[in-house]
Amino acid sequence: MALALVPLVALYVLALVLALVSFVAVLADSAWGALLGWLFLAGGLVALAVVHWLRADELVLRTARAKPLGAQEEPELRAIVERVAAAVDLPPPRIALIRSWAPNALAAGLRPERATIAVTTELLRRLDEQELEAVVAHELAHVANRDGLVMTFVSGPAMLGSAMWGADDGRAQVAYVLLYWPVHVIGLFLLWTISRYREYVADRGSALITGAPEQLMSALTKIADREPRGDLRGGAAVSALCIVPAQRKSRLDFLRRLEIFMDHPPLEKRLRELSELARELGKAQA
Amino acid sequence: MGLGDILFGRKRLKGAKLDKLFALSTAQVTLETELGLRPAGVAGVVFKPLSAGEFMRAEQEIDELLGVVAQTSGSEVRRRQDSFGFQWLVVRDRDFEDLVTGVHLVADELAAHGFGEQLLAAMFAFEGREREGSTYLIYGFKRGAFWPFVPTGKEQERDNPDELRLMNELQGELPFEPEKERWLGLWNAPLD
Repeated sequence: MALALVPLVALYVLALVLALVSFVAVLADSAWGALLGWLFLAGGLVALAVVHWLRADELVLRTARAKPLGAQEEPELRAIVERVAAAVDLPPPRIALIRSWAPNALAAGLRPERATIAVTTELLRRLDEQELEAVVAHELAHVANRDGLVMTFVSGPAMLGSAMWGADDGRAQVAYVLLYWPVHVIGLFLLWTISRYREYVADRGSALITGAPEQLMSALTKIADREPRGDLRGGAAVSALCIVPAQRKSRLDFLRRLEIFMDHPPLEKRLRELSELARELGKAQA
Repeated sequence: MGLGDILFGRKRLKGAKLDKLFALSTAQVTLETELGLRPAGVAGVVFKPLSAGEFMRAEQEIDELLGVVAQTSGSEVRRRQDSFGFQWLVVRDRDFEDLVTGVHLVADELAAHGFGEQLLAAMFAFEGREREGSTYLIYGFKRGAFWPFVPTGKEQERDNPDELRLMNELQGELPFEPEKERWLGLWNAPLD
């Protein structure tokens, strides 16, 4: 398992070295100025990481425009979430509601002790209790597996790339074009691959928690439209923790017909895995 | 959970901890004399069965199991289902010690049949304490600890001060769940 860390750590080191080199080589008028600038940047990144660790859930929820649920709202949803959490032996997460026409759900927070589950109003409207339970279990499987932490870590190099490309300073864009873009590309593929893998794991987790793979299958079929993508905001790390993809529309959407460009496995494959699991569960007892 | 488990998402469901359940029989005296809580003679084991084939097989085995429990402990056991799709094995016995033994036996048999990870909780009903509805003590199989559950009777509302009072007075006798946010309320329990 240590082997699996190698590509990620290598990418991180590469990203940091390249960022450093580009900073010194392209941005600097004097070497001391560059060093000072770099120290500030590094300090900023550390501060950001600390804030993220403490408050990641709030950041995600704010970008997704999720509203925390009051104690008396949606008692059914609350009861389902609390039961599933107890079954997984997690402290009950906080629950938030997102007003949206896109049926979706997401988990936020880097630590299980500070997790929030957000569902959209459309999800509540479309699913029955059993299907809702399966979706909640999928999200809590993400929480139990600490996918928020893992995906935040994995999305680091790609996020840095977007930040460089989108920077106001033209020199950062030059550095990006000259040096950084390969890291960005590899980072994105790594992100999507790991995200797809963790979706399968969370699907499986949901099936084992509810004891009924068919509940999740029917929920997925109901909410995975081939229609325009949902309008949940917040980058790749947020989408990775949604039950169905939630990226904004982009010009590169045509690429997402190929699995290697997807952050969630295609619906057909998820359903196939789940029905296989249903058969396994059935057989073990027969 | 180790680093490898986090990386590969291998968190597993926890098995059931049954051993602390018997603490309840010894706490009965305190419950009755100091708290004025009489056992209602009914308790339930709640679990989530796996679906499809598992369930077909399980149904038969569970029915056999109920027969065994009824014979050995003399308790009456019935199967119920709640609105959340959870299964309940409801045990009735006037003698409190037999009731606890019966519940333990049911849980133990379920675990022996491979349902250990699916076991959620055991719930014991009490009466008295100058209130109309029941007062409950719940034993969570995942954590091996008790917590009180006192519904006020209004929708999903709990009498938190009363729950805390119960815990304070029973603390010496029962292992309580220290994290209060984990005090799961089992609404719509089919114990009546």
